Order: sequence, then structure tokens, then C-alpha cells
Amino acid sequence: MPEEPIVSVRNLRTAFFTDKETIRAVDGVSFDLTPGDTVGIVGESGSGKSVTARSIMGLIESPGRVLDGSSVRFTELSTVREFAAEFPGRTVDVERVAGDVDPASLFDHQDVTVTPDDLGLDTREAATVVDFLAAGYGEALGLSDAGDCVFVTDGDPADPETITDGFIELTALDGEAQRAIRGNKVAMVFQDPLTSLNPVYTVGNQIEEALSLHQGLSGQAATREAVDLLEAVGIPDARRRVDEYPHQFSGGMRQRAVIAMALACDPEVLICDEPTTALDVTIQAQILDLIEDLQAERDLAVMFITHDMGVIAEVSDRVNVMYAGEVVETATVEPLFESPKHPYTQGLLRSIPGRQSGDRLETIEGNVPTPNEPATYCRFAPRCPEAFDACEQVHPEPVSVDGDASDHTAACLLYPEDMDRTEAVEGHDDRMHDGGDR
Amino acid sequence: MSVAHDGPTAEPGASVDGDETTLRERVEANPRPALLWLLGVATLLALEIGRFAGGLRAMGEVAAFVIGGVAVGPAWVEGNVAGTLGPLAGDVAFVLTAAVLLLLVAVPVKAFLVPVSLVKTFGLERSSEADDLLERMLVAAGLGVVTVLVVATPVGALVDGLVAALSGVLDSLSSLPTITSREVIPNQGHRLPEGGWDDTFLGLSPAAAWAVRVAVVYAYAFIALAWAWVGYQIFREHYREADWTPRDDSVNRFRNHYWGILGLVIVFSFVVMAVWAPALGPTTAEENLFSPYENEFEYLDGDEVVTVSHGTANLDSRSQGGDATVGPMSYDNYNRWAPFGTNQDGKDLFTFLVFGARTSLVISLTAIGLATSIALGMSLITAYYKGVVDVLTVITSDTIISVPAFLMVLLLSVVFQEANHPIAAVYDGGLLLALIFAFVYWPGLWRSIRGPSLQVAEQEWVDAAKSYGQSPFQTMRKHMTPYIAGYIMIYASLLLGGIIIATAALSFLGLGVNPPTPEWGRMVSEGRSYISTQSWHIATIPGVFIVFVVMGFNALGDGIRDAIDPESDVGSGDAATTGGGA
Repeated sequence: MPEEPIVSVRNLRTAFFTDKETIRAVDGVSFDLTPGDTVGIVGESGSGKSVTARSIMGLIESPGRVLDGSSVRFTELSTVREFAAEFPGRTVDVERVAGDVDPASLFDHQDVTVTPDDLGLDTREAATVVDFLAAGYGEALGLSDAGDCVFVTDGDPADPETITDGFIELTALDGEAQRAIRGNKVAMVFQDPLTSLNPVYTVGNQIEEALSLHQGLSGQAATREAVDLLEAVGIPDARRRVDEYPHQFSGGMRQRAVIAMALACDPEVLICDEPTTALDVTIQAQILDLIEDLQAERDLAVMFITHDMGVIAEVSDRVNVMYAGEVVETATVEPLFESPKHPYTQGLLRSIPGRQSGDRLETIEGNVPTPNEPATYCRFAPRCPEAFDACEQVHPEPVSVDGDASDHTAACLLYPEDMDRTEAVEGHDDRMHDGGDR
Repeated sequence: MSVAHDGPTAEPGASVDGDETTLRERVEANPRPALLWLLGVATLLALEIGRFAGGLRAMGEVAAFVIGGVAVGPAWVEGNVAGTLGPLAGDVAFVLTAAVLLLLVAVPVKAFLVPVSLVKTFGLERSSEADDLLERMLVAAGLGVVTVLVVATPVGALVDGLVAALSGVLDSLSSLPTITSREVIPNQGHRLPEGGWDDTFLGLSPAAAWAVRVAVVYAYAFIALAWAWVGYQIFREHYREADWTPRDDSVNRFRNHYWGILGLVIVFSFVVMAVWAPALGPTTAEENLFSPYENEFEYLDGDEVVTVSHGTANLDSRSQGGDATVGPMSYDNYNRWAPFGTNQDGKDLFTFLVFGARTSLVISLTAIGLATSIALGMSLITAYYKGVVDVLTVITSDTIISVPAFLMVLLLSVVFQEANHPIAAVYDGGLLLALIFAFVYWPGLWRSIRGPSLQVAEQEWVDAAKSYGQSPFQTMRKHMTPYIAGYIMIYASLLLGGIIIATAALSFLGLGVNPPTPEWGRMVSEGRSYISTQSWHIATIPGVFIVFVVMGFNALGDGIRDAIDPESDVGSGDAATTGGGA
């Protein structure tokens, strides 16, 4: 990839604790968002797509929680400098706290529940103190305080101008720091434009609310800016429309207004949670074009969630296929559609009506299971046409499909495909067990 | 992103496009209806100018009292500390207390009166953690300077003079006659030996003069209400930017809800009765109820006009079941007009009743205001944060609900009254009752709006507000409260009736509002033993009033509910009049 990622999601795990069971809605998801690129996340209902998005935004509510060991790093430098200046009490100078701590030995600490493999590392020695700080173990290990969320890896936090490397840990945010990120740096477009606008306020009022929060605009200036935004998302006669209520807008218009609201504060990252699901296909095409144009214009990093393979093919640069809280396959868009590797992806692509020839619509039998226990087997095995005995005992880890370092990975015991099946299974088994129980 | 930023909306086509204009600009474009309406308001105001000036003056006095109380604080602390630790410690304590008070005052002053950020103006930004505190300290320092100026320099005398001048103006204004006052339409007079009446309005009989005054009061109040409605209509028709807002449908539904309108009329009449109590009574509460032996009046005894005190006269007007009973719509032996007769002590029942309405209204409004504030706040907080806060609130409210409400009220009121707690002395126990009701009834209110608030907390627009960085308080205020406000209004108006009944019931048992403050429940209790005699009216009339007022509040609650709920069937006025939850 040409550019550095702006958001790195590492081993994101979000669970909901109910009286009956613990639901691991997102279980060890990792991916990057890069400015100007779109990452698509696709999967059936209940595969954890929306929870992933909400975890990044910090919108997970009780009884849900993002677990320790998860890390979502926001690495844009100017924002890190800004935050180090704004929140000196929550900033950590990594070089100073790291001192002479041996990172590899930290895996043995009783509170640490991740394995090097979870963190995407090959060996224990490859780990750095940053990995532990970002994963939220800083307090347990005595390295940082509760609430620390800005980590400076290169430069002096006391003098923000000298910072050249660092990140903001989104899962550690709360209160004012969180509000400073939301909308301003990371914004979200919700699924249903009907309900994501408050019916009792005019559309302009709601856009102005976002504007006043981060840009301090009010009155006429805010209204002018709101009109500009509505025009930017292609709403005709924006000067009149800005004073209308959501019910006076059509579905497509409303979704445009919601996008305008999300873009009000010029964010760096836009998370779209099924933004076109509630719309008909012609409007869907317009909205997709709009998002593409805005992305090109503003160099946005977009995370696009949908269950529609057609939409994914249209918008994404890179695709993550999710199943039961895990990313089962990830690749750039062409290889994924040309030669899907994971049986689940193959099934999804076969289920598209246009691709079929027979009388009956081919589907994947069954439903997504509720991931309510730690994964010690392949969660897709019960529905998988290619499942074999080992699938019930060994949890597949994401591996490169053809053995070399290409960025097309699949979490399936069939891969790497150049390996003998027994050998491949052993490889998965080793990686599953090398860090002990999860 | 290419909108013309070419100048403000002064460009000619701007207002034709219907884009952003302020209310003022819209009024200037079409001033006729607004001027007409304002003329009406001015007329209504002018008719009652004395009363409004008096109200302003009373508010000013309260403000002065509060400021005075706060200002005494540091000196008081100084005195206490200096007494025990020596004068130096006293000085330190004085400065510290003053600083703390200034900081406390600075919070609301900053929030409501200082729109610009001083920290930014002076370029003192450090980090957002320190900024808030710094801002408050700056405001506090400003307040301190002003205080010192007022206290220690001639500026203080100037301010004093200004305040004195202002209160002088208000004084003279408040002595102006108002159309609904006793002085303009007097009804207390005496017969003349040659026939006819002296000292009454146009020489009419006291009964007629009193009726005229009551009619004028109610006419004025209902005209004012109607004029407010006309104002809303004018605004809606001529000056509101939106053709339609979600509120319009509710208003239209309420207009066609006759049961609800009946409730509104009854409730409004009750409120007018409480507000204009001094003008409505045929005699004043002071001379007839509170200190009857210190006030005198004239009457015609045979051929000469004699003076007698109210207390003495009351002794001859007692309604205790015998022939001496002064029944409704009759004069007593001293030619005093008693529209609802007299009570067993010979006091005028109507005067007692209108002042009792005041008591009921003050108690129930205080109680319901407190209870709804607690319930609303808790429902927003529990719905927004869920988790532990929610569980704790559920446990607390369940604990309070598990004791039968009336038993709880009885228990608390006995405990506080027997202990002679200072709070039980305020308003003859009225404030205590209000606090007890608020404490006992908020869990029920909270429970009834818990569902809707949990529902609205799950709406996507609340998530959207969070996702663009809105603060929790503002999210609750802007995006959740409007949906719960409707529900809580309904429950509050239903509960209001319940509280009026409960107050009456407590006073009936002798535990509520103590004499001499008038209270309807005590009237029923006192008149109970005469119910089968000629003095039946003492208990019956207040009882009927309680029934009507509670029914009115319930009807109003039904009306609001049907107006707010778009799925309700409009016009089917068969809503049940329930007991009001007491």
C-alpha cells in the first residue's frame, strides 16, 4: 500500500455480557484504513459488521464492552499533536515508560490475555511495549494510568511540535477526548436515514448542531455552511431545503443529508454502516457515486459495511469478509471476486441471483451461529460444503492463501493451498495453541 | 462547495427565496398582524399594570434577599472562625469563603450571561482540561472586582440610588388601580337608613357588586387566555417559517377533544381562583380569617351605622346546624354577603375556599414540579447510561414503591410534625407536604416514563448525535427530552389531581396543612358533623370542588395524551375518569 494507514484495527474483540451467555460479537478482527481507500466489510446479518463499526466509534453500550487486548489506533500526526496539547494529562511518552522493560516477558503477566499471534506477530520477541499499551494493559502492567489515550512514540509530548510519531487509542477514549474525535476526525453514516435524523428538528438545524460542536459556527454563518454542505452532497435548492423537516425529504435526499451531517466537520475517516440498504437501486447508485466523489475530493478513508456483494465490488479497494465475529477472508477486490478462497466467500458469491443458472436459487444452508463461546473450532464448519473432521477440533487462523507473503488471506484449514492438508491443519493448530488458552 | 458568499441577506431576492430570515425580519416585512396583537397585549397589561408592577417588585425583593444572604456568608464564616481560631484565621476564612462563593456564582453567570470565551479572547488557552477552570476563575475575578467596586467605592452609592429609583417607580406603578381589584369594584358596604347601599360599587347591593367583580376577573382571565391563543395563531399563519411542524397535529387534535377542553377550562378556572384569590373573596382573608378581631366594619343597626369587629360579628354568623345557619347565597345578620354561606366559626366559606385553592395549587405544583424533575432526570440518565445507575435507581424506586404511598405519606408527615422540624413550620406544613409527595411519587412517575425513554435512547438519531460528538447532557436535552416530555406531562397532570386529593385527605385526618392556612380537606373535615343539618354546605361545597378539580386535571391529562399520541382515536370522549392515583 502506498500510504500509511490512518486507522489500524488490531485484534478487536467486543463481547456482550448477558445473564445467559457471553456473546463474542467481534472476535479478533484486524484491518487498516488508509486515506483515499475504501475498505469493504461484508457478511450476513449477525456476522459482527455493525458491532465492528460501533466499536471503532466507541458506541458500544452496556452490557457490551470492548475487551482488553483490543486496539484501534488513530495515527494521523496533526491530530496526535493536537491531542497531546489538549490533553496533557492523558498523554503517555512511550519512550520514557518503556525504559528497560522486556516486552517479551510481559506476555507472562497474569492480566495479559493476548498471544503474540493475536497481535499479528510471529514471535514473542517481536512484541513492543506499544503493543501492550495500545491493547489497554498499561494500567495493569503499571506502565500508564487509567484513561491514558494519547501515546507518543517519537518526540516530546510536552512540546507537541516535536512529535513525529504516535497514535490515539480509540478504544481507551471517553468523555471530552472522545467527543473531540467523534464527528471531527471519525464520522459515521447510519443505516436508516429515516431514523438517523431527528424528526422534530429541521435538517439544517441538525447539520448546524454538528457544525457548532466542532467548528464553533452559529447563526447565519452556520446556516451558510449547512447550505454549502447540502449542495456538496447534491441536494438541489439547498437554501430552501435547509429549513425543511426530515419528513419533507425523500429517502435518497435524507441519506444525502445524513452524509452531509457526517461530513460537516471535515472528518478524516468515514464509517458507512449499510448506508444504501434502505434505498432503491437507482438511488443506491447515486449515493455510492456521491461517496466516491466525496472520498476523492476530501481524501477520506472510508469503511463501508454492507451485505450486498454487488455494492462491495463497486465501492471497495479492499474487502474483509466477516463471519460470526471473525474476518474469514481478506483481499483486494479483484482477486477476491476472481478467485474467492474461503468456502464462505464462495458461497456468498454463488448466492448472487444474477450469477446463477439453475431453477432454484443456490444459498448457504443454515444461519450464522451466535458466537457465545471461545472459538476452538471453525465456526463455519456446520454449514461448510468442504468441512472435514479437523474443522471441528482446530480453529483456523488467517493465513496467506498461497503460502507466500501476498495480502490475500483466508482463515480456513484448506489453506495455504500449496501445503499438504495435514500439514496445514498442524500449522493452524500450532498457532492456535502457542499462546495458551484464549 | 460553491455557494455565493457575497454579502449578507440584504440582497433583494433573499427573502423571496424564503431562506434564512430572523423572526424580526419576518415581522418587519408584515407588521400589521403583529402590531394588532401587541396592541391587545398592551391593553390587557395596562388594565392590570398595578398587579404586574407589584409582581416585579416582589421578584426584586426576593432577589435582593438572596443576594443579601449570600453576601453575608463570608462575614458569618469569618465571625465563627475568628471566635475559635483567632482573628487572622478569621480573615483567611473570609477570603476563602468569598472566593468559593464567587466561583460558585461564576458557573451560572458564565453559562447564561457570558457568551464569549474569555480564555480565547485573552489568548490564554492551555489544554481543554484547564480551560474550563481558568474560564470560571476569570469570570469569578470579574465578579469579585465588581463586588469590591460596589462595596468599597462611590459606585456602590450610585447602584443603591439606581435600585431605590427603580423600586420607587415600581411602587408608584403598583399603587395604580387594576380592573380586577377590590378597590375598583368594592362590595363591602353597609345599608343606609333611607334604603340603598353605601360604599359599594355604584351603590349596588354587595351581592351584585361581588358578582360583577367575579365576572370581571374571569372575563379578564379568559380573554387573556384567548388572546394568547390568537397570538399563536397569528404567529403560525404569518410569521412561522415552516408550514407545518409536528406540534401542529397535536394542537389540532386537542382542539377537537371536547373532554380535554372541558378539563382545560376547569383547571384554568381553578388556577384563576388561586391567583386572584384576594380579589374574588367577598371579604379579605386577613380581616375575616387570620385576624378577625383586629379588623372592623360598619353595618346598619336599626337606624344608625355602627362599627363592629369581624370576630364579634362572626360569633353571630356561625353555621352550626341551627336556625342561625348562614347558608349559600345569603346575607348574614350584619349584612355581609356570603356566597357560599359561613363555616362553623362564622367565617366566610367562599373566602376560605379561594384561599384554600391557593394552598392546594401551591402544594400540588411544588410537589409535581419536584417529582417530575427527579423522574425526568433519572429516566434520561438511566436510559442513556444503563448499567449500574439503572439498577440502583430500580432498587431505590422499588423500595419507595413497596410501601403503600398513602401510608408512607402519613408516616413521614407524622415523623416531621411530631419532631417539630423547622421545615414543618413553613406554610403551616404545606412545604413539608409538597416535599413528601415529591419523594413518594417520583418513583411512580419514573417507572411510567421509563419505557419511552429507553425506547428513545435506542433511536438511531441518538447514536447519530453521539457519533458527531454531542455531549451526553445536550444529547439528552435535545434528542431525548422532547419525546418523554409528552408522556410526563400526561402523568403529571393525572397525578396532580391525586396530590390534591391526598392533601385534602391528610388535612381531613388532621395531619396535613394546619390552621389558620385554609385547606379544602380540613373544610370537609370540620363540616362533617353538620352534614345532616341545615349547615350541610360546609362540607359539601368544598367536597364538590375537590371532585370537579380532580376530574378537570384527569380530563386535561386524557386530552393531552390523545393529542400527543397520533394513533389515538380523536373525538371519542369516553375516556375514563379515574381516581387520580391517590
